[in-house]
Amino acid sequence: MSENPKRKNANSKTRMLVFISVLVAQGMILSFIESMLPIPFIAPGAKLGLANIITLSAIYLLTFKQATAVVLLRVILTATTFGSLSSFLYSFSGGVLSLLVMAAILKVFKGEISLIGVSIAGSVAHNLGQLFVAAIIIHNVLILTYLPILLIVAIPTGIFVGIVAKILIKYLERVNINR
Amino acid sequence: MIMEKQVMMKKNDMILIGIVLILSLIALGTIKWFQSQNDAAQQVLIKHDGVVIQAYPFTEKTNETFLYEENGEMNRIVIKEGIVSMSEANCRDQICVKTQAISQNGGIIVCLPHKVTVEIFSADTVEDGLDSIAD
Repeated sequence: MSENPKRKNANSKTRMLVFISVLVAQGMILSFIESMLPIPFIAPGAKLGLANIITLSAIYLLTFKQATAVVLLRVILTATTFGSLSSFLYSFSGGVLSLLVMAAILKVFKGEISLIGVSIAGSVAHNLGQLFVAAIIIHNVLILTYLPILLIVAIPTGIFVGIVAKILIKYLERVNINR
Repeated sequence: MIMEKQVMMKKNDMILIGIVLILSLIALGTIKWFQSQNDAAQQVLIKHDGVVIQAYPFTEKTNETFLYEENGEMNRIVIKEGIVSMSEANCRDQICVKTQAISQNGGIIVCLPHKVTVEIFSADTVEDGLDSIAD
């Protein structure tokens, strides 16, 4: 292909911009849908964590910096469009902690652990982040009594998120979206 | 077809799951241990934003209903037959109302949007400085 390098560079930068934006939008929609689902209640803070599907895909397909941008943008935009200050704090802590944990595990155990495992770790981190912020906001440590159940619930939700992320990544790689 | 028959999980995944379960059990054990540390008289403490707004002695015979109403926020707490529960609230997520009733030392019901907590407290309980009690 005889493209001049400058144009090719601009082209792929634009593609990257579009890709990141689409991921952010997807993350927002997932957060929104999740808030609408009538979840059988287990504990305060127990969520499906669907947005982790996006976070995980971003970590896998993009650089850490780009993945961080996806998470931060999603958290900020979700909070400003249909959230509140406290929902922002919860998403932020859950989202950032799961981002850091998943990225770290993926890097350290690359190849030795499947996306499912990474996703489980991410779910656990997400729940932990939210629980700790809740403890601070309500000025009460006792909320940590929900820790055992949240940890256990994180396993199936992590598996689910991991499976979906795996499928999503497979499609995205096939389409060669960012290479 | 996307769902190819492949090994979806590796050994490390199982180890991770195992670790999470163990952590969960440890957390559960720790909590149960703290809860068993009570012999002193128990109280139901209702707090808003960490500050106690109402306290009741907690026994099998306690029969009280407390209504918190401020700035349009409402929570109704019921103590009856040795059980404490949030019977009603006007928060959007209703998680506090759906939470299982508490009956043990250290148990807590939380309404996050309203920053209201209901807990069972005993003078022996080890709590750290995050709490503050209004006089």
